[in-house]
Amino acid sequence: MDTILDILDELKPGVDWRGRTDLVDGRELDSLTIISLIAELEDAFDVVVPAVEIVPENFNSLEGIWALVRRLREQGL
Amino acid sequence: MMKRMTRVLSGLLRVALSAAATVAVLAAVSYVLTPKNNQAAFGQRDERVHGIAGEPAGSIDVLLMGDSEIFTSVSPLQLWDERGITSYSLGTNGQKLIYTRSLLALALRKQSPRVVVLETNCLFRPFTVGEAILRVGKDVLPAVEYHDRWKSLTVEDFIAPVRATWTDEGKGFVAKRGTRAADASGYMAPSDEVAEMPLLNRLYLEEIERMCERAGARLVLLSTPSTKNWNMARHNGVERVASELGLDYIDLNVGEDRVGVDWAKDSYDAGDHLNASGARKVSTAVGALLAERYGTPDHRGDGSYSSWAEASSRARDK
Amino acid sequence: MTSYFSAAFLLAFLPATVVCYQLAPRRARWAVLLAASYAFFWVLSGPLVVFVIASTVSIWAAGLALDALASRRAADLARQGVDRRRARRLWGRRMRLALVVGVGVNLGILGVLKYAGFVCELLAPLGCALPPAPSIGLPIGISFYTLQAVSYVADVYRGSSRADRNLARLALYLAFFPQIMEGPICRYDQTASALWAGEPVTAQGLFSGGARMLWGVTKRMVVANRLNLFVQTVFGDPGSYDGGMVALAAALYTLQLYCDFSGTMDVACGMGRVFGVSLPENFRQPFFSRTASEFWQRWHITLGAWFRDYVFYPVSLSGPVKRLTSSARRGLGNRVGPAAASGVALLCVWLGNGLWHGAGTQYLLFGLYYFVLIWAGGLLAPASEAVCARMGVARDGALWHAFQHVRTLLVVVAGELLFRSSSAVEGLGLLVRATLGFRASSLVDGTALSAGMDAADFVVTGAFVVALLVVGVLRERGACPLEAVWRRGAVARWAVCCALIVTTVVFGAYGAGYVPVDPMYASF
Repeated sequence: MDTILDILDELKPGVDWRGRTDLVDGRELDSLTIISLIAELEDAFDVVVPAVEIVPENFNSLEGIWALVRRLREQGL
Repeated sequence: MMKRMTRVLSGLLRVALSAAATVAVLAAVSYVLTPKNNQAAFGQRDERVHGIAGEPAGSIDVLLMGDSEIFTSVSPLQLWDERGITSYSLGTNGQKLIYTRSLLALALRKQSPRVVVLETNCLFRPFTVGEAILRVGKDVLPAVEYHDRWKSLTVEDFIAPVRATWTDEGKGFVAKRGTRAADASGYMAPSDEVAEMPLLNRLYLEEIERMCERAGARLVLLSTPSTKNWNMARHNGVERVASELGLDYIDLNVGEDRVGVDWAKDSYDAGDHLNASGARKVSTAVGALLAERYGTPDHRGDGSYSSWAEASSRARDK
Repeated sequence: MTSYFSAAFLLAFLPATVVCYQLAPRRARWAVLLAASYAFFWVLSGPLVVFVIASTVSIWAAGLALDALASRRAADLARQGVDRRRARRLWGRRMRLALVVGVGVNLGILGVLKYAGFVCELLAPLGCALPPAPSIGLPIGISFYTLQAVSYVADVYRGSSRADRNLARLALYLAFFPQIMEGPICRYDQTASALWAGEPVTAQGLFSGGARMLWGVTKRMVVANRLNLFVQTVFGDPGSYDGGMVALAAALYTLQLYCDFSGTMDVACGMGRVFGVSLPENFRQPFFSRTASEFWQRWHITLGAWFRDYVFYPVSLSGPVKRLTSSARRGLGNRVGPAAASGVALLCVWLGNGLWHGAGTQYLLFGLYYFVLIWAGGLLAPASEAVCARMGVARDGALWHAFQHVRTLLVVVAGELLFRSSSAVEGLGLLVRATLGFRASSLVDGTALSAGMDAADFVVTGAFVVALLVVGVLRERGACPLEAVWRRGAVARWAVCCALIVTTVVFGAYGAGYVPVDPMYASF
């Protein structure tokens, strides 16, 4: 989870990532940032994020992103 | 079950009440927007035909209805001069039967004509259900027709009564000056085809007939001479409808009632409409038909119709 | 009956449908909606209804094929001792084939019917002799329902929707009459089950839906149709008007398009509400946007979302583009790199968006215009932040926000100017005239009143814009005006509906002196 936090901070500094549950709906994460985020996640966790997983539920909160990564890792094994 | 029924009924009642209240508001708005006299200067639309509202009650024996064919072909003042017949022409450009019905209703409010002549060209002009609904809306709530008058409202529009004091000098007739010869080569060529009028038009014709019947008037279908608008297929179509509905049908284009129109001289626009000279011939023929077949009375010399003699002499002086 | 705004539709077709729907047993209500939808389609497009039937059958078959392939893949993968990688690749290929066929059939129909003529026109100067384009005409709403069809097949392929075995439900999903003409572009998940459920008509649904429809009708009849007088006059003969008039016409056209399209959406969503179906919203106060890309998240939302989900993300996450993104990130840094690489996906999105609106060079230019703006916006964001920081401008301040609002409004109006032109060349010419050749004189010396709208028309339009602003601000603050009116009780409900009806009847631009306006988005 800290890895994800680092990535997010690097992409867009100055956002309180931990406390938020409306990252997409509140437009903190726009489509461009999501694309960069996915590229970073794929490098860092060795997963492949398919387009179908880009839904607000998966990206609205730090926990959501973490859950997505865990799920993709299990599937990949 | 009972409970549900009452709930539904009370719901329907509420909807009906709301609708009635809305119509009441629109009726009030309509009063303000209605032109306060039947003249264009007051905002009246189609002033020429609405002059009928300014004619003394019960003074008109014949209504001439239809599109531009009727108001360019038959002159009420000539009918007066030749036969002493009082008539008024309610034709407007491109008239559809929905409007014919409205104008007839307007005329029948004050008049009880003996004969209502309906020119047949408009029987074939199609209209949609939407147009029909809109027309009814305009008749019930003049705000729909005159809504744009909000731009020119005056204090009088809010307080003055709605009057109709004006009438058209030509009693709805428009003489077309000028001549363009018509090509009459294929005019009324024999044909077994039967032109079908649209279903909605048929329903409206039946409604118009019922209105005439209730008012004690005889509805007569009349085809005025035109090379562009009339042909045997349409003649056959109207003949069939007339016999089905038990109406009289007179076609001035063909057969014994044919009028001797000179197509080189009597048309205004190459066979579409007649000019003044063509209209003179047709008016004479129509006057004879009305007097002889339908016994429309001769009011010449009757003091209460002196305004007709005056209008006629004014027209002659012009 | 030519649109949702014709008397026959509002006063006859729709009430009759609602009554039949409510009287029908719940399990048969879908049939009422389907019959009404196809009747509506038939009235507007006649025999072209075969194309919507073809689309329906094609996505039904594609969905079933994808479903069958997916379950066989699962069975295959569950077997012991299987080379899982090879099996995945094999079944993946087959499913992709089904996807390509399903999407291809639908885009193919759209392409041939809508773009064949345009392509021939473009290729003609190059000396390519192509067979003449078929002139079949366009079925109503084909641009909208085709996108719905594609999204369904794509969703089944991705596994985010299950395949529907019920052909009638899919038919209703594509052709539901409130949405067939101008959208909103719905996803299968959003509407299909509600359409099928046959929820009873309720008093609240009738009020909220009905009042929403009235609001939409008012917007369109009072503002959009009135502005048409001016817009039509100026754009019909742009050569005889100076820069000020062209700029005014572009602004009024933007307002007209908004009132026309969002009014139609109000009618569509209102109708959906009556039938217990909540259609997705297509507008969220677009003129309050601060950037061009935010504008597209508030204007024609379902179209933007469609391109985002079915073009932008898939293209961005495809192998080559991913590799491009990674190398750009290494070369240009973490912010500019991805922004630069996103150009590929953005170009696909905006070419598609432009051409979706119509086969014409002006639409192509319109798409490219927004591509450049949004791409450059992303690329220049760090630079702009740096400039602001150096000049001491607070990016959270009211002043900066106001600047952004005005800038975005101008950008949008300029875009609509290109959009309304009859060709890309004319559009550029007009844009130059409206900016470099802008003179305020014609706006004050009476010329503005000579182009179809008199002073009273401008006053009514202005008053309505104020009303729109008030409603917009309320909605921005999260209020739901109709909800509030409903709670106020029967008299308030009646008063609102009555006021809207009287406003439309009196101030509507209809009848003698006004040319009826076709729904603007129905032809896209």
